[in-house]
Amino acid sequence: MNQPLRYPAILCACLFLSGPASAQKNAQPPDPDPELERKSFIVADGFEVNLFAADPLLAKPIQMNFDAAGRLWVACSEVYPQIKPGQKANDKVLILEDTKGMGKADKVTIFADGLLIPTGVEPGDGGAYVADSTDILHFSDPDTKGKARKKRVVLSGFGTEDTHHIIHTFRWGPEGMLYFNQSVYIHSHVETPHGPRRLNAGGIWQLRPDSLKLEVFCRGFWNTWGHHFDRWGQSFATDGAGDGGIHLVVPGASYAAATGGSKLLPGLNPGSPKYCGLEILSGRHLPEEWRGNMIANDFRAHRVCRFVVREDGSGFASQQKADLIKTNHAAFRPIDVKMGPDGAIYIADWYNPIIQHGEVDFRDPRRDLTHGRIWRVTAKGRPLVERPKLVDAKTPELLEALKAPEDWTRHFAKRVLKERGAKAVLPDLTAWVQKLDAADPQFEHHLLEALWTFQSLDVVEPKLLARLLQAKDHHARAAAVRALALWHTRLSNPVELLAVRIADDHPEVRLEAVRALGQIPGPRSAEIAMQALDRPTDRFIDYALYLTLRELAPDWLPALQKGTLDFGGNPQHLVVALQAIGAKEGVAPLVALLKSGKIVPEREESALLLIAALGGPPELTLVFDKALAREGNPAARQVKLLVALEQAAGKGVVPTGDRERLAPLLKSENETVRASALRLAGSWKLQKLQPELLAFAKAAESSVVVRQAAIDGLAAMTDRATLADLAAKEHPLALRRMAVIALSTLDTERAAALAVEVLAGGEGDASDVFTAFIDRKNGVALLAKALADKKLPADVAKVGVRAVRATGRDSPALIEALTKAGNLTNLKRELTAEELAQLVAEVQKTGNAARGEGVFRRKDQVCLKCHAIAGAGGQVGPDLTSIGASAQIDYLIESILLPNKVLKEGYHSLIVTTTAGKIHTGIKVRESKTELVLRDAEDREITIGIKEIDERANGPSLMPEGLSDPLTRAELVDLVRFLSELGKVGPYAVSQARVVRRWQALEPTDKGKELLRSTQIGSAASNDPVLIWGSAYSHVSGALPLDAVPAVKYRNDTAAHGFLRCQLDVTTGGKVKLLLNSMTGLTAWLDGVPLEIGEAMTLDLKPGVHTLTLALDLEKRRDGLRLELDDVPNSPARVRIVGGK
Amino acid sequence: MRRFLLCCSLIAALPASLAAAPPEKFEFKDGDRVVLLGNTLIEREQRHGSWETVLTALHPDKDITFRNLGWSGDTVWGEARARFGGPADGFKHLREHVIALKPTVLLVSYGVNESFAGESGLPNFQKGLDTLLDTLAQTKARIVILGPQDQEKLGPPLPDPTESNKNLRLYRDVLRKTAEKRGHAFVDLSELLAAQAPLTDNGIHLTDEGYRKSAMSVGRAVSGRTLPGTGDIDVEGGPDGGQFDFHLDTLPPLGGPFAQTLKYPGLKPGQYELLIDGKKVLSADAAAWAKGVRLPAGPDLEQLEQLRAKIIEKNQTYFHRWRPQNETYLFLFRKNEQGQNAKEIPEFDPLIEELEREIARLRVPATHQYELRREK
Repeated sequence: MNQPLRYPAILCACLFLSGPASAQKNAQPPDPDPELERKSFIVADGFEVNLFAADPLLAKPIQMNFDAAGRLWVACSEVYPQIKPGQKANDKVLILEDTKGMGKADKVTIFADGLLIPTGVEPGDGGAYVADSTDILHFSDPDTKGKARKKRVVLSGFGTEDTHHIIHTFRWGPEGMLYFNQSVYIHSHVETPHGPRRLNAGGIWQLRPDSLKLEVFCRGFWNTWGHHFDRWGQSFATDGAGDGGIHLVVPGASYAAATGGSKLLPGLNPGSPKYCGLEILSGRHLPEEWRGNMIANDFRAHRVCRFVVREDGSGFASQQKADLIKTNHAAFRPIDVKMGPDGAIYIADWYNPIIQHGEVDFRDPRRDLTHGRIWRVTAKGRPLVERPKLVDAKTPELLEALKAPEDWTRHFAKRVLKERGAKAVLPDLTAWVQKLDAADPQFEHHLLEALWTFQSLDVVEPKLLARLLQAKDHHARAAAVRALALWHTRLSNPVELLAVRIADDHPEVRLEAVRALGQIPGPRSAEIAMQALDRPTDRFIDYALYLTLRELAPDWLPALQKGTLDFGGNPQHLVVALQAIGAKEGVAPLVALLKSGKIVPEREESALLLIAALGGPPELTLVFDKALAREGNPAARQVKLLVALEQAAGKGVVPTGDRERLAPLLKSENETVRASALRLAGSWKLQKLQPELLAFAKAAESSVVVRQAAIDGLAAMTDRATLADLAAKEHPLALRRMAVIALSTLDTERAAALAVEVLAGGEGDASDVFTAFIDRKNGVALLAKALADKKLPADVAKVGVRAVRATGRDSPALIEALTKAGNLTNLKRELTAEELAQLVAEVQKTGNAARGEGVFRRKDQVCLKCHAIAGAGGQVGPDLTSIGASAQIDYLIESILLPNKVLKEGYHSLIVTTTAGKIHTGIKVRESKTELVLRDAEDREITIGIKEIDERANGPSLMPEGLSDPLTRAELVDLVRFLSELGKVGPYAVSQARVVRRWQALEPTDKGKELLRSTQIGSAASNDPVLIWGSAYSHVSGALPLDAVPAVKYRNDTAAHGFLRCQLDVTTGGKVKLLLNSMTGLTAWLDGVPLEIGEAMTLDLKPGVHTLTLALDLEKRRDGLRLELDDVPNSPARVRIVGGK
Repeated sequence: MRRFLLCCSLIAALPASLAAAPPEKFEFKDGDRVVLLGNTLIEREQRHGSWETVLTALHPDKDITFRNLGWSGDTVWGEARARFGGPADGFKHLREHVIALKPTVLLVSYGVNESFAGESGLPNFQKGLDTLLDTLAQTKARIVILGPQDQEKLGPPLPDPTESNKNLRLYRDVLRKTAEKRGHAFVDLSELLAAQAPLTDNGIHLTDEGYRKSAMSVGRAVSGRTLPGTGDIDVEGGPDGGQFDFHLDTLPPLGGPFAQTLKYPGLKPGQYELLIDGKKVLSADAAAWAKGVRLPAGPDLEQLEQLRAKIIEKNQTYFHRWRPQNETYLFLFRKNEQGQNAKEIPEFDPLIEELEREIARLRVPATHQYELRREK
């Protein structure tokens, strides 16, 4: 099979696609007895779970938050997903109380009702803030009788395009701001006394309720259903549809799914399933190694997950550990998690066999509307924390509570202080700060709590701030910088304070300083921010700089042009600044810098690329000169510059002067340089070089890459006649195919006639020929016409049908023409309810997951080409790590047979027609004002200029129908069984161990073998371009089977070897351990240097990406290969295994 | 039962000098379909319903229906209505929504959000306003432009509005001049509402109480009518008391004041109790009844609140109809998955019609049976 497999829509549980009849047959809502549910939990060692509250006390909890009195407020909705005509919106906010302190709710109060799908509740200011569809309401209870009497609209204008996206995840920040989030489909337009605020797509909002100052804290995320602050005020988020796991929230950053074209900051656990809720554990009740851990819920797979998040340069690294709770109970849906006043962990269980309403009918009868649970997790044999009594405490007592080890206590003490108001609190607060013992190891944290209290009370305290900016503990300094940003308009010298911190010893502080400067307008802010480059940077600081420079561009760019700003005369700073904004205005200063020779070599290439992308003809000449340079011009750089020039030519911009100077590069020894030059010669229409292009196209010794480049060049010269000649019968089939494809862009009708002759020649994969026509305006019709009364081999016609279906566009004429030409019979994939039920039964009875994994892994089945498991595999379709736990069997079957029936959000394709008549189909990756980036079915990113877009339309799934056609029924049954086991508790649940899942395996090419033969096998660890590496994926269990390793028989007298490599991304250097399942027959190299091998190796790694290469003697080795990464105690190292395709 | 004579309220067509800004020749007509268009001020009105209640009660004789198309954060460019689309889509949606409703009257309130662009934003605003009014002209509706109210100065921690109000004034002037030029009625909310301040709790948006307090003045400024604050009943009855029917011509003013006195001279000496619709209200002696007795809040005020409740319910139902949640799945790019559920949305229509029948009934003051009965 040649087409990629894509499950576009595999998100939700229990999806039935054939209407209620089959739905009911397969529906098995579990017994709702809470005790049965509890008993199904597999709980982490040393912990136990008890039921805190259950229906009928509450139903359908969505968010919960404690108040200072230790009462648990829960927002519940029975109206979700959609109000019915005639139904009264009567959702509720409940208060659950454990009045006896028995770990069980014994009192429930309906605080507010009459609500429409309240998705957030946060108690405070004498009542609670509640998300109510378009509005944030504040309900208050002036007589503290438990029931709201006053209702106030705080803000309105939040979008409602999707009821699991509407504003949610309400949280007080440490400084007294109210944070809340919206998801990707939401468009909000909110009026405040400070002016309207708008946020289209996802993000986190930040509100100061008393002044109604509202800002966007960060942008992006599909579903930011978790957000929390650690002990030092750093903020983290989880995404209920993205795959980044825990995310570090850098103020002002953009994350996956953000609109606006900014670069994105990835999450800390790439390849994760989706999470809902986020809590950071703290307090004496929990074992020490659990404190500071983060908890998030994989609600699809019925798991409560644990992460260890540690500092990593200026940012953080996150590592997943064994689950806190897992179960196969179909209705356990953990969606919120909070620490409680007693030091226990509370988990809101939405309790529903069905999740989501995008894929499941709003009115599916199996939607649970009546149940809901709150679970309480405690550590066995450890004393609980005494519930703090804060509400009636005296102010000095509350201030002492700011020293508590429990985040809970400090947080709520601060809330009570805030609500008492500045007047009541300030005298005691000031005295308390003065009395603090500087010898206390927690002294600086106490100061920080005091600073946050001042911020909560909205009283500026520059002295305390100044003291914390110079704290010994870098955490305190970083937090102080963030606090400074909030107060900057009320401080006399904010920029000068930050000028000191930009040179801080700790990268985390420097990052905060960079971001704080972004909020203070003025060219000087930009100049100071750039000084971060004078100290070591990392990916987080680089990103922070990018954001700050863009935010400040309206200030510094005019100053630069006027000559009043020169970044302290540092050209490196200027290059980075201009790169960040990518604006035309930056070209002239860059060119001047280049000519002055002041740019250090490592920055020159990116400066040239920027000039090539934005410059005009004279500037491009400079780039062209650099591309031609003989000295100090490595091939890789030459290629990049040539490609950049070709892209500029595509926009009609070409260098001035003699372009035929390109000729020598056509003879470059480096194949890639030669290919790039051939293309460029065509793009520049250098007719003089046409004979050379033709010669390369025809030459038998031309490699595929060079031949393709020559053909592309001819096409760029619009040399129709030559291409038509090359498509004629006397040439080899491969050349004819290339020529026809190239001609199709110039003369589709003529190409179609030639294509039919080429296709009739049979043999080999012809899908690209079909695709060439399918992707042209009118191409489908012309090919169909050319096929009339012609015959094609059946296999070729089948490939054509599949190629048509892969686009998802309706092309009945071509399908019919292909069916006739290939004499095909129509395949039917739509199953009746009975057929589906029978297949489901077979999967359950005879399906074999182990065999199914084999089918899934088969190269010709191409599943892995588009889908990853635990981050290893293609990125076009959703990661399937927990698909079995969230989707039912009939859903899986139909998703394979009829991929368009249900689509997962974010996996709709976009069909874009360009003004040049080319049609691109792909998933939108991002879009800015100038370009749109799609990911196509081949997992390639395609960039389309917005100006080139003629038309765009929504398309279906990229997963073509018919991928399962070659499977026998038994194979399909096994495949579905395998998928249905993924993520369920058992052998197909991905473990949290960090094992290498995506290997690169050396292909046994002649040139590769020759290299190994003529040198030594250690050359496999070199980066020699003749070595071709494919992908090999480990089993879900973590081991790579030997049959997935290509045998490379490079010498007749030597055993066949397999060569594998993997990459380790080290962000903070230090020692790490690598564990091998067996050393038999293994030789290893690290970054090309031989490595002494052991079953447990300790390596000391520096920051950067390291490559580990292994040679396996396939005669000696019998076991597959399992390589696990492990921590060395007390090592600072932060290492991640690189996954992907 | 003798004949009795009523001397009570009539709908007062006010002398022009009394109305704050007399819209030139503007008055509501029987059968009017009024569309309210604007930003948060308009959007929130539908939840509180006070302005609409007064406009409805002012015209018991006319069948006027209201549709609220307010959208928070909106501007003359329809910015808040773009959903997944670009700026042009927002305006397109605005246009489509308005035109589909076939309005005969448009109450248009913009300018607040635009004013944050300051003086340099004025030309752009003028252009946007002209495009909007040109577009609205296609409906041939009579247009009333509401000039934005000032931001109230409520003190810290809310911002000092001095600067924003300067800008606001510039934008209001554009609105006023444009209305004059195009012959649209213009009602200056700033003048009208400043007199009653504070009406907001955040400086810019009316509270429930704010809408209630301002409803009569807004109603008067827009329609040129008012609801009289008295509903006295003068009865010429027999010496033994007796029964009679009575109804007001219009409901009492929302938010008061409303005073109602019943005068019944000629009763034989003694104590008489008043029953309305059979329910005892109060008791007084013959001399007091002859002079006139002030009645406590009666069924007409109850009816006014019922009318408001129905209007709010109608507005809520209509909101679910025109701005349903989950539009992504019902009508937009994921309708291929859950579009089947869109069939429910038109099911709101008969519910809205039913509520409007209720509103039509409630806008006319009911006739009540009064009885003065001698106590034993």
